[in-house]
Amino acid sequence: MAFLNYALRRAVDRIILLISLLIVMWLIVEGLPELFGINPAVWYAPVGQLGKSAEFYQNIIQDITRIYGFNKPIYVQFVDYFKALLSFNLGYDFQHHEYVISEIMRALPYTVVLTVPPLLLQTILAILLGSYAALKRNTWIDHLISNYLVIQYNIPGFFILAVFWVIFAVYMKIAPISAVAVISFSKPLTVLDAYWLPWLILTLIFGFPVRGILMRNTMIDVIDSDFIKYARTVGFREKIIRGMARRNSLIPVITRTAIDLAFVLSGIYFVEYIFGIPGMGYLGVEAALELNIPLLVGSFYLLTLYALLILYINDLIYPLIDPRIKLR
Amino acid sequence: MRLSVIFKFKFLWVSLFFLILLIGSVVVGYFVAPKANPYTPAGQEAAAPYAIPYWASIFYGNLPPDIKVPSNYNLIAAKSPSVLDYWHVSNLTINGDHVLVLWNSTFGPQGESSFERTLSTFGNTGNGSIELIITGPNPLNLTLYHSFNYNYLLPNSLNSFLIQASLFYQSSNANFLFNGYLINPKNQSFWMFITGNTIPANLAALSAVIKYIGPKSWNYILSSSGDAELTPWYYTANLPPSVSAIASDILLHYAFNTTGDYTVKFQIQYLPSNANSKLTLYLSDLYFEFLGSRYGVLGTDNSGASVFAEYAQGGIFDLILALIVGAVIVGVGAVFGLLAGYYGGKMDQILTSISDFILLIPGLALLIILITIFQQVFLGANKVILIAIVLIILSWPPTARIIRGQTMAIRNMPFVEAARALGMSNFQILRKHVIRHVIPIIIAQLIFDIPAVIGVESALDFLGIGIITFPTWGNMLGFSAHAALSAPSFAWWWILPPGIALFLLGISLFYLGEAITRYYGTMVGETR
Repeated sequence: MAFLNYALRRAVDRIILLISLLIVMWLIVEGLPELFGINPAVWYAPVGQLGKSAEFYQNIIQDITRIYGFNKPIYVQFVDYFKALLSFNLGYDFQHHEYVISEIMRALPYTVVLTVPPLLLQTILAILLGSYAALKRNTWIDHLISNYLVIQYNIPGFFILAVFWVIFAVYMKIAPISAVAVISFSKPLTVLDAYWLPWLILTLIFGFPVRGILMRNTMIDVIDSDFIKYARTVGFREKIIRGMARRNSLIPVITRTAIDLAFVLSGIYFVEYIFGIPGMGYLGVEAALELNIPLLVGSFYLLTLYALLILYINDLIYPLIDPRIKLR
Repeated sequence: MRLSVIFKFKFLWVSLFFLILLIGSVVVGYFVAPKANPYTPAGQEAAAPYAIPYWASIFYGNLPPDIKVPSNYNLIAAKSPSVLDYWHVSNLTINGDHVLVLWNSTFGPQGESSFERTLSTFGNTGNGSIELIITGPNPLNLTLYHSFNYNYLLPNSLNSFLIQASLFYQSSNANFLFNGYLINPKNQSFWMFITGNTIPANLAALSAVIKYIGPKSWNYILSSSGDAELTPWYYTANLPPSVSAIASDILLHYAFNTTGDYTVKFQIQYLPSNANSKLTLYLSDLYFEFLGSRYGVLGTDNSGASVFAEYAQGGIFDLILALIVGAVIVGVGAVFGLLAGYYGGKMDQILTSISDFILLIPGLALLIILITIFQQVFLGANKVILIAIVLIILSWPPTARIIRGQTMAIRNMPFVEAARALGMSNFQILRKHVIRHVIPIIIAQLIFDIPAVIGVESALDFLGIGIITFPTWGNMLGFSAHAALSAPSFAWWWILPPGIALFLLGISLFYLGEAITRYYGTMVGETR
């Protein structure tokens, strides 16, 4: 019962967050411009029509104003906006002549396939390397691993990506120049062909700095704790002791992995940009560059919704994997 | 104060080494490299596009460097009398004509409207010119020339050469023509431009390189093998129409087809009409440049701009922006963090919910949206300020949260309780006890925020959403990666410097912050 109570309370928290997010988004996209006397319809109009005659353009603006209701009172607009987003009616992209939701749905699989396998590999590596560094505390191995993690944390990914792309795709020709040209989800081999290099880069270079350091530090704390010392005194074999320590250090790493999972879909702009993967990040950058506001806001909304959902699931799982935690 | 303790950390030395290396290279670049903005024509054409760094020629063979005739600004702009010797002109009397050659220090090119400044063109250089006074009844050809040695690999299609001059004339009963030539070691003469107050009828097509000039004003003429429309062969019948669009390239390869001594020649054709004819001609900015394939410390980018200049200017901008934005973030964060941590209550709740809100939405995506829309709403606003404001709005809550945590820890310490028992006011306690203990965390946070700000700003520039009108490390990476993706022409000397700089900055400041945090740890008695 306590768990249900907790779950409900967290759900309310997250829903409040979602509503405040919607309010902020509305303020940014419609409220603020109208305050400054700009009709948001000009952003929805396709840029390609700007060159046409003034009258033609004016007609387009009027039509969009009517369709989206920018001429209604401002509170009606707000309620409409609210309803539309909650029912996933993200609007129509006049620049690509497509519904925003269908564009996003087409892009989503590319990003999921790109990001989820590396996330799993990263977590496994973080656990292995972090615990190894903790066991070899203050030796050169520990320093090597710690500094590797620091380097991962600081490396500007976009630059490494371009360099790797040139080396592997242009000079050595063992990765495709552009993933979109070769990839087809019905053939797993093409997926592997297009994604092996991004996966490798995401795993080893973008990497797992936070999770790795977290694992190392937690593991050190656990090894220093009384119950491990007790286990040592009792005379358990080292292998068993290590297993105990590792299992107890996993909890923060798993939580952190869940947080990373929540933001993984939005954080890969550069990989998709360089390797020509038509996923969510690519969509967002393109939208920002061509001032495609419906697409930009729609993809941002879905990404955030997804993040909140994952964080909520994480909240629910957390007490299950760590029974010591008090439900709040 | 046990300040010396901080110097015992190995981290500190590593970080200081990298930091000094980085800032040193930026500062040296600021003084050594061209100051003009490399993203405008004024900062471009330092050499041919994709010129390699000078020192890298050990990997690429004997590529031609920039060849400048003359190589010195005083000689180009005729600021010193030795310009007469340089171009081999002197007084002479021949066939009834008198040529008087003077160096005029008080009259020089100004108000040339057709001149566009790049790093390889000179115009409007002000006082200083060669004054030629020709009198007499008979036609005369007067030649100014200078030779240079070309002893390198033959040029590729990215190289080009240009020849230019500024002139002013006064004439009575005399016409003249002014020609520019390049003569190669095989004694083939390449006519580059013709100008004067009469133009032969067979060259009637007026153009950039075949043009009539009027008296009483300075005129600038430029002919180049870098651009078809600045190439004489584009206008003449030397080439079939099908290839005239690549006339510039053909001219380059015809002209530079061997190694040896080349001659740059300017020729004045004096065409008098009677015995009283007189022509006074002022020449300045006589200049020839071969844009070479190796240049400077870091070579050139795809428009021939110096990469070292971009690196230095971008670095200075990035570091200053990050310092200011980081300071504001930490300042705002410190105020809110201290108040929230010390007083708790409503303040604390508001801070926590704002930072929760910002931590729980995808940061980069929100940043992109905010900047895209703010740009539309605040039309004409300075983009740098816009980016700075958005960065501050999105970054202060996490910083405030860290400072809040530290403040809360200190608030509950016995000495604070003692101070309160002694009757000190909250403000006094904050000032005397709390701030002093939080200062190291604030400094460390500032140091951690600087690379974070640079990283985010570079990411925006890289994607083309941030600053693109002047160099930053981010848009250098963006443009170089884009050039590599589209051409593909991968210039390692262009993509590596900003990337490595960002990396080193991140690493060094991380270790510096680490050293400060640990120093603070030793101060409060933690041992690790």
